[in-house]
This record gives sequence, C-alpha cells and structure tokens, in this order.
Amino acid sequence: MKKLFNSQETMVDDMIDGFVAAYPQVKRGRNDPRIVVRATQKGNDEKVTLLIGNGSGHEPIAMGFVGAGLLDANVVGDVFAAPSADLILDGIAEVNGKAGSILLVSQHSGDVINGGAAVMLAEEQGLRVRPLYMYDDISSAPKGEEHERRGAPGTMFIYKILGAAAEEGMALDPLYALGEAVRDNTRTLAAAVSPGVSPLTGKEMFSLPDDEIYLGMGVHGEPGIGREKYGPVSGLVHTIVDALLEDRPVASGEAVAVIVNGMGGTTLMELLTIYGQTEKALAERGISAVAPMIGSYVTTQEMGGFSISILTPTAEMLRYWCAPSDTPCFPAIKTG
Amino acid sequence: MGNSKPESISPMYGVAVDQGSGLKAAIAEARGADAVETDLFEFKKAVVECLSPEASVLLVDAEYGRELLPHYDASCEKLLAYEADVYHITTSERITALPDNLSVADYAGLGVRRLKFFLYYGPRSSTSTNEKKHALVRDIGAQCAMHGIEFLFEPIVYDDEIDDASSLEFAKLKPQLVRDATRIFAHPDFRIDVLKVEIPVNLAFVEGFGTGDFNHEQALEAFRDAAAPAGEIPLVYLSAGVSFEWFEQSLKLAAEAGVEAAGFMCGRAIWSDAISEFGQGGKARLNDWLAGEGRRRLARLKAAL
Repeated sequence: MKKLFNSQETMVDDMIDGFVAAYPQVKRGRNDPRIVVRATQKGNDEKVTLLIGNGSGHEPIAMGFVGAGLLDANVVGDVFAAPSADLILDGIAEVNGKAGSILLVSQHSGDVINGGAAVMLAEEQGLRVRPLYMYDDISSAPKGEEHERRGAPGTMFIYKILGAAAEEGMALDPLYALGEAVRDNTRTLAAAVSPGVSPLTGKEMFSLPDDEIYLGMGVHGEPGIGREKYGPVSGLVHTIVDALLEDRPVASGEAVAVIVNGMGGTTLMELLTIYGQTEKALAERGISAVAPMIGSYVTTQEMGGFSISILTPTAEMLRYWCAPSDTPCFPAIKTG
Repeated sequence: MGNSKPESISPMYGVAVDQGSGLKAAIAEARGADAVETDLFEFKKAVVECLSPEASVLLVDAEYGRELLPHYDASCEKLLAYEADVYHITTSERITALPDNLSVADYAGLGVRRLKFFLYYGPRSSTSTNEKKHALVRDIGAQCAMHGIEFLFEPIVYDDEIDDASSLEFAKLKPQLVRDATRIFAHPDFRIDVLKVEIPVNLAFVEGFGTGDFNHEQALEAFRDAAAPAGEIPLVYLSAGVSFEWFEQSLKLAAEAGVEAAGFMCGRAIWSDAISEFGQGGKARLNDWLAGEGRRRLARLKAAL
C-alpha cells in the first residue's frame, strides 16, 4: 500500500512539524522536540498539569488534545512504540509546577513500564507527579479483574473531565480521585472489520475474512474475544451494548455519556449510524444517551471498525465533559 | 493474575527470524527490480513454514509476528519478541523501545506463552544507565510472572570505551562482559526463565580458527567462566550474525568446555544464504533452499551441542 511519507526515519518528526505549524494552540516543548505542549501555559504552580505519552500512528490522539481545558503536554513516541521513560520524564519536567502533575497512562505494558519508571525518576528529582492508570476495555480481562484491562477510547472521558476540572483549579488529590471515579464508571467494547496498514512494514496488521467482524479487538490490533458474522450493524451494536451493560449495569431511567470512536477507516456516515443504533439500544432499556462524542479520534491508520464507550456520569462529571476546550482536535460536546 | 508459566523447552533448538529493517534492506538488494513491499513478510513466512517443523521453538518479532503465528508447525513452540524495533536504537544509553501495540497481557490471547526481550547491556556503563535497564527488565519479568509467560532475556553486551565490537580489544573483554551480564541477570529479582547469551569468544582470534590470540584452552575456559554465573537458569546461545560454520564450531567448543547449554537460538547463521536464493529464484527457490540446506544446518547445530 502506498503511504505518503518522506522516510521511516523522519515520519514522526515530519508529522509534528506540520502539526505545530498548523495549530496555534500548540508548540514543541523546550526539553525535546517530541514533546508537544500548549502554546500558552497557565501558571503551573496553581494549576495541576496533565500529560500523556503514547506511540504515534494513532492520531489525533493524544497530541490533538493538547490545549486549554484539556492536556498540557503529549509525549510522542515512535510509530507504535511507547515513548521512553527518559522522554516522558522530560515531558513531566516541562509542565510540572508546585500544583503537581498527573501522568495519564493508558494501560498497555510498554506505557505502564515506561510511565512508572518516569514517575519514579521524577519523584527522585523532587517533582510532584502521580500516574493514573486508565483501563476500560471489557474484552481484555473478565469482570472482577478490571484493573487488568487495557486502555481503550473510553479513556477520553478521563482526559476531558480531568482537563476541565484542572482548568478550574481542582487540586491534585481530588483531581486524581475524580479520574479514578470516571475510570470506574466507564466501559468500552470494540469491533474491527478490516486491518490498518503499518507505516513501518507496509503490510496489513492482521487478517480477517470478508464476512467476519472481530469483536473486542483493541485500537492497536490487540487480540479480541471472538469473531462474529458480518450483518446489519444493529445486531452488532446490540451485542456490544448488552455486553457493556452486563459488565457494568445501568439502571433504567439513568443517562449515560457515549463515545462512538472510529478506528481510522470507518466513515462518519457509518459512525453516525452506529450512534443512532446505540441510542435506540439504550432507550430500549430505559437508558438515555447524552453528550455524545462521535468521530475517529483514537485510530490505527486506516483500520476499519469502531468502539462504543459509555460513562455513567455524576452531574459534576457531565459538566466537565461538556465544558469548553480549545485544542486542535477535540470536538465541542453538547448535552442537547 | 498468578497464572502458571509453561514447561521449559528442553532442549531448545531455536530458529529466530525477528530481524527487521536490516533484513528488509538485504532482501530488497537481492531482489533488485523484483522487490515488492511484502518480500520481508514472505521471507519470514518461508522460514517459519520450512523450519518450524524441525525447530523446538521459533522466534518472531512484534510487527510481523501476529501474521506469522498461524504458519507454525504444531510441534513448534511460539516465541514472540517484545520490542518495537531493535534496529532503531540510536540513543547513547541504548535502551530498547517497547511496543505500544502489544502488551504482555495479549500473549495468551495470541496463543503465545513465551516472550523474548532484547537489551544492549554494558556491565561497565554508568550506574544510572544500568539502574534504568535493571528496572525495565525487572518490570517485564514481573509482567511475565503475572500473566504466566515464560521470560527469555537477551542481553547483548557492549562497552562504552570500545567502539569496534569486532576488535581484538573487545574480544579480550567480551568473556568478562558476558559473564558479568549473566551474573547480574541471573538474580531472581528479574524473574528471568531463560538467558539467551552471546558466544563469549570471537573465533577470529582463537587458534585453529583465526589469529591465535586465544589458545584452545583459553577459549574453553572463557565458555566455562561466562556460563557459570547462570546457576539454575537455562542458557541458550545466540548466533549474533556470525557465519553458520563458526556458530556450529562455537557450539562444539561450548560442549567441549562442558557447558550444559539448554540449546541455541540461531537466526542469520541458518538462513542468511537464503536471501540470495530468494533474489535469484523467487519464492520457489527460497522454499527449496530452506527445506533442504536450512533443515540440514539446523540438524548440524543440534548435533553440535
């Protein structure tokens, strides 16, 4: 497959060049060109700073979410590679102030290992930082072992809600507790229909028969929980919603916030259809869907597929979820 | 949590085809005008299909590995590397990048029970660098233990003061470096199940093979000395880019020295000559070579130990 890059060696830096040139909300950090920070930092002695490190190849996450009301920095690794502990440490040092920082860690081995090491090194330097491990993918470990699960697109609830709360001045400890509460109230399940092509190998990252859908596959192509026959999407959405509600029941009469995330190769036409089916499936159970986020935000190149994430929010969480932000790629969320 | 690890493979007659961009470039050069994007995958697939029936374990990389796993012979154990790309390590500390598209927790779901992790290690490097590396290996060991995955660790030694790893100066230091790396990582804190180590002597400087800077007995002693600190942890030797004949001779020396190695893990020494066959005669000739000479070489290495 033809990919439009200059070279493997420069593809990540070329992308960041374009990104910081395009968006006034962001710039490169001082400590390392692989760190993207807000163009205008708030006083970080008063505001808790939020940052995350991740491999590239999944844009717009997470550098697209750097800006007012959301992240303070994103540490960008090589394609499909977790950024090193030293690079994450540079990112922490870049934005850390007296108010402290939270390093958001989407739970995957490489990110956990390097993120944990970076926090340890930061603490040795006297920096105040706490790692928040994020996990929401119900396919990756059974109920009761939630802490073993991997991070999936539902983690965007945490980014946004903590970002808005930090912007309003919430202190480190309550902010961290809020993050844990959002995590505990969030569940995600994905379905893949076609592979993405790795920019490193030029090859499809997995194979799937034309008449099958891979249920539970992660955005990185991690193994799922089973294959389903391809058919009308309403059946697939019902299967996913059933699984989400079985894992974390939501009472009739409650409202949930919904993210329908495309993996990169699924059109908005399809994603809107999926959201419509999701809203109906929830309504059949007396649950209302509010404040949806629909689009391709956590991607793996042109991988076809989607995930549905639901958050059972408190009023405080919902307010922060819908609070305004100003970043290159995070959409405005409306309660309707 | 707390899953039990699989039985050790004994003996471990391993084939490795986890190489990345370097192998891709070599294949592209050999294929010339016939080169296509999928050549590297096709080469790896041929190695898996032709050699896995004769190997007790076969190592593949994280990028291509998932697509290669279905092509294994049922008798062969699967070993999957946990590295982003070991051929793009450019920082002075030489710390391996971890993949973001593969977690230790994913191994069981892929039908893989064994993980390999590679790390450049300089026993004489700075304390701060080595503490970072120790923490990294310890963390991977802990994750493997948590998920019931066998942990095969491969330290490749280097020295900050000697740039040329093919020099006599480095050859004189290498037995000590391999011994020190083995001693350090044999500590139970790292929860390593198998140590994949380099041949501690460079045959280019051993009498009977090269210049004679090491005599035969010194070479044998270097094998014994470097292996001793492993204790109960099985050792497997890796070919690390030497020719097939020298790797075979090295294994014979290890056996003569009385080192009870658990096996070997051989990559380029087995299949590097297949690259030109692929270039000259395409897939058919590649498969013929691997099924013929490739399997004969594997049999010779088994006999050498």
